[in-house]
Amino acid sequence: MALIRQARDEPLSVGSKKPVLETDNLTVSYRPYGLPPVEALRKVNIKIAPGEILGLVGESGAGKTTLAKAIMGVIAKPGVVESGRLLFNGTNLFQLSEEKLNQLRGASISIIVANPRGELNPLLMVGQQLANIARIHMRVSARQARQLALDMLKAVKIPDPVRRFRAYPHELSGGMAQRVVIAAGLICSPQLVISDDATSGLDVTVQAQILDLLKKLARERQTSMLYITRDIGVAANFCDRIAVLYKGEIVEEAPTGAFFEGPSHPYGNLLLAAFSHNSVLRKRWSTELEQLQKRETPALACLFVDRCPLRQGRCWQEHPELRDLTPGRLIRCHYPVLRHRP
Amino acid sequence: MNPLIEVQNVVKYFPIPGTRAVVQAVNGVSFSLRRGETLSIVGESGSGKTTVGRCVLGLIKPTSGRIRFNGRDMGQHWDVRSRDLRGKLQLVFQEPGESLDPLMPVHKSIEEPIRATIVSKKERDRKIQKVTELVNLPLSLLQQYPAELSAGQQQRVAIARAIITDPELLVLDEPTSALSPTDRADIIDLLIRIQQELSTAYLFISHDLSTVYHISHRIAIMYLGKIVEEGDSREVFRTPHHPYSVGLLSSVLLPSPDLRRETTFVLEGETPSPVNLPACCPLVSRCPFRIDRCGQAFPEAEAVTPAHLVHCFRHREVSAAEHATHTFERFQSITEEILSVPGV
Repeated sequence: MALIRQARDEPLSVGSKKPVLETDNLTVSYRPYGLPPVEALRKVNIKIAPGEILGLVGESGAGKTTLAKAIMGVIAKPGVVESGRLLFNGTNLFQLSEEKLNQLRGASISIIVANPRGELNPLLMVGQQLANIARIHMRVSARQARQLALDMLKAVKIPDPVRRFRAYPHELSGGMAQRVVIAAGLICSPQLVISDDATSGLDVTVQAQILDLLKKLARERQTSMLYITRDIGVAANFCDRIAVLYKGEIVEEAPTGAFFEGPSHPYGNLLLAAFSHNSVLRKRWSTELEQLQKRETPALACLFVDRCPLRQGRCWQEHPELRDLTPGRLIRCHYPVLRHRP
Repeated sequence: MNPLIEVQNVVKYFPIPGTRAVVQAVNGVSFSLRRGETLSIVGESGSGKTTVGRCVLGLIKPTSGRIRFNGRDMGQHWDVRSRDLRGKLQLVFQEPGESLDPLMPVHKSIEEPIRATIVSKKERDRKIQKVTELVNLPLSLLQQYPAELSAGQQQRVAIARAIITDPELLVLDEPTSALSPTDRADIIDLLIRIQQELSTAYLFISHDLSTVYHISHRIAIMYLGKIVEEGDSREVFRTPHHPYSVGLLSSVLLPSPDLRRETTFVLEGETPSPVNLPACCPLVSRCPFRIDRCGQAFPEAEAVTPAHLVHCFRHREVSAAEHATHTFERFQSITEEILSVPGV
């Protein structure tokens, strides 16, 4: 827990370093047979600097998991990457062969997901699963791989790693299994780790331990992270920068401190109001459901217009572009919330 | 006034087939609940909070202990199926999508609990309309099927279905954990309003502490089948006395980066398995405050204030080491300041 408290180190500006990952106008849509296509991601531009933890927040259905899948190159039909580039250290991943991608995935880019038991092979000892990853990607001997796996089990603070090496997934508790999955994600010291809601299923005391651990490992190894979550409380305490995704669009991007001192997009404010359970404020930051259902939204309108308390005529006609509000802070809104602090 | 529910020393063991071992899910729990009051049972997975809820509802029989409802013992002859108890106790589940029959239009799901008890169709329709309005659902939704509704709307249907029998007690088992933040806040507001109108007692089972903070009058913190601390909600949140409560509260992450509850210690490790627990304090393996005595017996309840009980030999040292903080209250005032923007 100590580490999380130190989390407020200087914000990392992306401009200074070359980004590890960059999505350039990434658009992904789902085209179910016989139904109109649905755009799950609309021209998403994100950049993650070396060693940076970018928090991607948004409600369910915003496209968070689609983004994770797009980066891993595992968008399944009827999903289609419509346009855009996905740059990993400057290389466009969409142009790589499946073989090249397989060398990157697991070694340089890895993903940690929730539901650890679904990820682990139930028929293999967990230590062996870790060792296999090391053998495949790092071309080490079986013995070295075993040692790496043991070290990794130690690093994620699994008690009695030598015994647990030989455990099968069903013998582990949820928290332990999640640690094994994290170990699997980190064993090759990847440059980029994507965490898709990986800690949300854990108990809070265990979650706090695992977040500390992830942060420590990320800082030690200069690993970048894309941390996808619905829980803005976790994002506030864990991430360096926050990007808010709404209906497939980034609507706001800011350093964590600045974001939680006052979100600029009305949706960010609504998220905060919802978390605080303050019903007066929540009403003020959202509009009633009945109104929402009455009106058909025109195609060019801002995607948030039907829920926005600050909307004006322009919002119905003109889709806002993502623009700089202040240095390091991006916003997609015609009338952002500005606060003047004394 | 007599409490509505009185739970005395309830124990529930589940035998593990093929062995002599038992899972000690609930290990001697006592509490009471008054009309119109919300008691939250808070704890992590495996702490036995759902089992307590099920025992109170009469869905499972406790291994030992007594549960009184309205002063009457819920025992062999007077259980949840008795005619005069029917509909008095209701339950809302965690996953609204799974607890509603997908082949039943919403109005049928809501009607189901009263179909056997209210004969007149007109009267039933009147009640359906009343509860639908109470949970803020448009009446046009009644003809639709659960799959056509959002998760928030589904949970409203589940609540409507539960309150249609005018229950005196509603057991809410993690009713908001599957919902998005805005839906969650909506449902909590709704539950508070319904309680004010119908003065239903709530037994709110959750691990989401920021929600619990808003809905509860009292909270009971459970760990491995035992209530380790119980009391007035605000007071427990402000000055937790049990090491586990302190660890739990300090693990809650609030969306305000500077507001992490400062603690002087950390709970290491994870909850041990609830099979064959020793008869001592369940936290003994993780507690930084442990002394020899902790491994010998479970501490009796001590009253910190008349409405605040704690089971810990060293609770004075714990609370002295932990400065009383007001994290949740400070978060409220900070958010209020942030969100109070002129013109909105």
